[in-house]
Amino acid sequence: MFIASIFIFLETLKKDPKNKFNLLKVTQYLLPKQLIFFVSLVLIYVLAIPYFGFTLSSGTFLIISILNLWDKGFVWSLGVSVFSIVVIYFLFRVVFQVILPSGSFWS
Amino acid sequence: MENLIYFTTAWLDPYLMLLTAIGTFAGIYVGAIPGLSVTMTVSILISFTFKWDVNDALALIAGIYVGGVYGGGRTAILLNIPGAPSAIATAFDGYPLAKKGLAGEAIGLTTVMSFIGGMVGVLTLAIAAPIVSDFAIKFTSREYMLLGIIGVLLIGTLSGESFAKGAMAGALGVMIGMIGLDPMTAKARFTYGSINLMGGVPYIVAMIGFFGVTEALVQLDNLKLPYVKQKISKIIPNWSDVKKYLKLALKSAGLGTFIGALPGTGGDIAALIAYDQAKRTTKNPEVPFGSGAKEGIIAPETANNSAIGGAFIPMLTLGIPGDAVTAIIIGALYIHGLKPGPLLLIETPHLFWFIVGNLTLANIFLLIFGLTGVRIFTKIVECPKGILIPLIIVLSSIGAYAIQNNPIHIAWALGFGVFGYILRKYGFAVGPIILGVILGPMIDSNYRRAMMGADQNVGQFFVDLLTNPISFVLVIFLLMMIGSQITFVKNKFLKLFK
Repeated sequence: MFIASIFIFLETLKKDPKNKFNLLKVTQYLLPKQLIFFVSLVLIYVLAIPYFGFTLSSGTFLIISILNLWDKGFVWSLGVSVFSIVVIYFLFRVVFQVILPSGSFWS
Repeated sequence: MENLIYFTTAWLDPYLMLLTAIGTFAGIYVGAIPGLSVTMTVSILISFTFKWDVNDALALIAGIYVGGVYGGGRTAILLNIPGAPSAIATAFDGYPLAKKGLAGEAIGLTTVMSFIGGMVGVLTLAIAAPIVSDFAIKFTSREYMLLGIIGVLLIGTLSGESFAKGAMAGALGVMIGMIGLDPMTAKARFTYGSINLMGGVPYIVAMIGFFGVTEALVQLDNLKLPYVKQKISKIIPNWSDVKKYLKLALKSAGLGTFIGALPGTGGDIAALIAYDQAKRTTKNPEVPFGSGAKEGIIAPETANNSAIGGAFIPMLTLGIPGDAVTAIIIGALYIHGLKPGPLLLIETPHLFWFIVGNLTLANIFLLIFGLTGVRIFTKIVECPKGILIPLIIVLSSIGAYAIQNNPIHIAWALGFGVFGYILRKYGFAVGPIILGVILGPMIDSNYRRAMMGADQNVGQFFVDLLTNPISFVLVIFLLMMIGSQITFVKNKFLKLFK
């Protein structure tokens, strides 16, 4: 891995000798706003599951992210999210028999 | 005779037949919807189906695999957006055909050709696997170690933009695969004292992260793509057309099967190479390539479906996956207590023939579903990504959780997803990582066994490596593969050929 990384470093140097290091640009390229928002949402989601349980966390996650990514208004996003969660719950609880985490907050 | 009975298992049991049908049908849509991929779906599904009977799970997965590889071509033709990586080459000529109003005909033709390709692949699997398996029984742990290394590096040479990046991704995968307790001495490796890491990283979790979540995050970059609607004419293709292009189809299918059978390379690479091959060998196409040549959709679509059968060959005979999806299926087999390798055909012939029969059945379903329901299809495919991406993330987390009912795996899968996204941005392919995660432990344990065979003497180990004929051939192959990637050698050889 280390040997390969040296080669990649050399390749990158060769490819773009004039490329000046611009921290702001690099950060913007690496992390567009949409992505930062979405990744932090995912992070909160991960942290929320053990406390609030799978169903509630996922529902909230779906509502917020769909509202943000799909501009059809709150009612539509809520509808789609609730519908998806109900379908997912029955599919996995009944068909696949997966016991979803219920969350320590409620018990 | 017995094999025939095993072969027809899926044909005679209505439940298995239904599962295959559902799988194929769902697969066509999964493959077609941009943003959903077969690898993603299968990796999520595996974690739910492991409580099922192994035949049921395999029936569903084989269906999804066959349908999904085909489905990507439909969106490539209709919308100019390849639904799956294996359909990239189809879009080159498929979309121009659709613009001419020949979308229906193009879809019909690709369906029939995909069916032919799929059947060639399955037939090759049925014939070649027992032969390879007979040969592979002679392999010792030393050869397995070499095969594992070749597998990890081969996908690096073929899939990424540079060999170094592919090799690095593969090495990273091997490292992830090493996490946990040492298989021989039970010493903790890379665990940093964490109890959760002691059991290692289940590679389905890594797969869900690198394929499912990463793909979802990559989709964030191109959220709004304009959909162009196409009119669909008749779908059943002309018999004369099928006959005319049969030779090309069979040639592409042969090529596709071979590429599929190489460890780590699947339908996506097979399709691109077949397209290129067709472009070079077709002397007088009716229409030039790139502006709606029928040869240009037939070659990749036949090749990518035939690669399925090919990909199963190394997976079932050597335990080395032929592509990403078979890598996941290996996971499913392990979960069900089966060990893919040369002994699989001897110990569990029913499983092998069941897979062959099932793939054949899935191909027949593909022909049926492929030629019907195209009109409704266009509506469903327009599912907005804004809904799709969050749903993929939620499904990925259930998938990661369900393997061992461990909530920490959700965090790992999502973490791998974000990491994979960054890697993808910098031109690293995630395929080699997954192959490394799977083959890493295999390389490790086989190396250890080979060393035991050589009385823990490194010198003896290398002597064995070069004196045994099978090992020697593999070592030469490995060296050639690495050597051919060095710029100096590349330039020298290119000059020689000019």
